[in-house]
Formats: sequence, structure tokens, C-alpha cells
Amino acid sequence: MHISEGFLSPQALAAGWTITAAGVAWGLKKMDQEKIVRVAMASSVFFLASLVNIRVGPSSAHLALIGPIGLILGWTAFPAILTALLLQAVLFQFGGILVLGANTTVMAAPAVLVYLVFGQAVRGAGKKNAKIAGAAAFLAGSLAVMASAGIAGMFLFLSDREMALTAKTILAVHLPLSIIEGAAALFMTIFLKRTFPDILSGVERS
Amino acid sequence: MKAKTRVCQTRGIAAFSPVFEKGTPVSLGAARFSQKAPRRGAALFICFLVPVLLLAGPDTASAHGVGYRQTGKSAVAIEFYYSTGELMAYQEFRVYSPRDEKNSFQSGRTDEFGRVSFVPEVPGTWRIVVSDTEGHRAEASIPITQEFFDGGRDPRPVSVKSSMPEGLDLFLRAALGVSLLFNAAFLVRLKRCI
Repeated sequence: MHISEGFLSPQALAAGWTITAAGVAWGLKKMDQEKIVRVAMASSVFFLASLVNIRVGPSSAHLALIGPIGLILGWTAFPAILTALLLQAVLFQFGGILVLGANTTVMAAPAVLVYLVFGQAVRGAGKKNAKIAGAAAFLAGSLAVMASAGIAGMFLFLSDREMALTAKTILAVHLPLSIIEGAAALFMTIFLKRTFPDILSGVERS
Repeated sequence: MKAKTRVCQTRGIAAFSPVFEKGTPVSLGAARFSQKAPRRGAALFICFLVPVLLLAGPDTASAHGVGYRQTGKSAVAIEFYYSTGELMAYQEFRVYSPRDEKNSFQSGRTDEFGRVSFVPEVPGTWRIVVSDTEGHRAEASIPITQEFFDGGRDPRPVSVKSSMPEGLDLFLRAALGVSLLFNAAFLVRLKRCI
């Protein structure tokens, strides 16, 4: 999922940084100071999840948990993911510093997107809404991965038209992962709803 | 090429002409005619075919011999792998000479074990770029000294750019990362509170 250094054109890098800057500013503005520990926790989970590798056919992909992060953090996903990606780049050599903006956009934008689309449905309480909430959580998890792969593909395609095939490959590779991520999102929300339902209420100022 | 063709053409006519001369008095006998006709046909055929072939396929007819020999020059072999430890097998690579940074010196695909090997021609920093179809790209810079050419010694140790720490190092880095994240969060909170 991480785009490596050297693939993107300066324009694509700049676009990535612009979107990231806007998202981070908005996310920090909306963040509730009292709940910053949750942000740090979600950020840590994201940071560590990338170490879990899953073999997908000939290549391997790693867990990203973009959906659950988005559902928990909302707009704050931008600063949380930016920090986690920075640490991943420095400590694990994933991605790079120049492409950090683009990579943050690739992973944080889908997180915010699923939060806006599925957040309400996932938070729905009561037995009646349980099935809808579950389906929403699964969709949030799997669609977030596909959206992320789509944005990554778009960045590559915008940088170099010859990357069209690469973009398609990225989408194809992430299809199986999206199912795994969907399931992960489903189980995480079921677990969180039982043990700590408050966490799904977001970290934004009310 | 032209000269060769001409020679063949003249030969063709020379070979053909006696047949032509002998074959001209066709009216002398039907039996004689039937015996001579196939030969004359074949001669005509060859006469025209040879120059036509020579003219039609100058490349094929240029007759470059090919051969091989073992080179005494030393090669450099570099292995590429993913952060997961998986080898970058059968991926596209390009080797850039220090002389020409833009046009690749060599290109192809890595072998089954993610290796690229090349024979450096000049001292300097040689660059190898391996990229796959999924957006991963590894770049290695290999310093080649004059000593390498003089004594055929191995190049200076290549700085291993491991893309991923392992074992305890990995664990410590992961722990450091989580710690840094929480520290950053507390710092932000502290700053806002003040």
C-alpha cells in the first residue's frame, strides 16, 4: 500500500502534501483534547498493523485497518495516520519522507470517507440495528482498502501514464485483502461495541 | 553487398550461357528438347533466384559469424528483496553507469532469487534500480574502485540498505514507535492545557 520514494512526479507529491496538510489542520481543529489518548492508541494500532503480513497469491500485503481507524477517529485520522506513517518510514523504511504526504492521503482519505458514509450506521445501537451495523462495519473495512488502493493507483497514474497497468495490479492485489480487512473491521466493531461502545462515538468535540 | 551480388550474377550468366547455346537448336529433335528443358529450367531458376535472394535479404546474407568466449572481467551481483524478506524475483531492473546517468547500461529482469549481475566497465558509482508492478522500487548504489579493475578484487562492501529490521531490533523499533506516539500525544495535550 505504501508508495515508495521515486515513483511520483513533483506535482503528485505536492498534491499529496496539500490534501494531507488540509486534512491534518481540520483533524487537529476538530480533535477533543480529552480524547487524545485514543488518537495515540488508534495511531499505534495503525503503526503496528503494518507489521502483520498476509500472503496474497504471489505477493504479500499487510494489514492497514484503515476502516476501523476511520470509524474510531473520523477526521482526526489524518494527523494520526500522518504520525504513524512518519514513524513507519523512519523506523521500518516503509514508504519515504517525500511521499509521506501522498501516502497519508492514500490511507487517511478513505478512513475519513468511510467514517462519513458508514459512521452513523455502525454506531447504531439496539438489536434491531445490529445487523445493519455489522454490514456497515464490514463494508467500511473492505471499501476503505479498495478506495485506498484506488487513490494510490491514481497517484501513480497521474505521475506516469505508463503506470496504468501498475494501478490495475494494485487494485487486483488488494481485492482479497479488502475481504480480510472487512472481516477485521466487523469483529473489531462487534468487540468494541460490547466492551467499550463509547470509543465508536468519535474523538471529535461535541 | 553490391559487389557480391554482381559477381553472382555474372556467374549465373556464365553458367547459363552454355546451356542456352546448346539448347537453341530446339527444332533439331523433340527428344533432345525434352531432355534439355528441365535442366535449362533449373539453370534459369537458379540464375534468377540467387541474385534475388541476395538482394532481398541483405541482412540475412551478410553472414555475421557469432561466437562466445568466457570473459576475464569480474562481475558484480546484487540481491534485492522486499521488507518481508521475500526476494524480488523476476522484476524489471536497470543498471546505470557513472558515465551515463540517463540511459541505462543494462536492463532486464532479476533472476529467480532476485539477483542482478553486471560487468562494470568504468570505476565510479554504479546504480541499479529494480521496480515491480506494485509500486515498489529498490535502488542500490555500488561503488566500483580502480582496484576492482586492477586486481579483480571484490568491490568495496556495499552498504546494505535493509528495507526492514528484524528480530529484537524490529521489536525495539516497534516499541519505540508506540512510545513516541503516546509521548507526542501527551505533549500535544500538555501544550494545549497550558
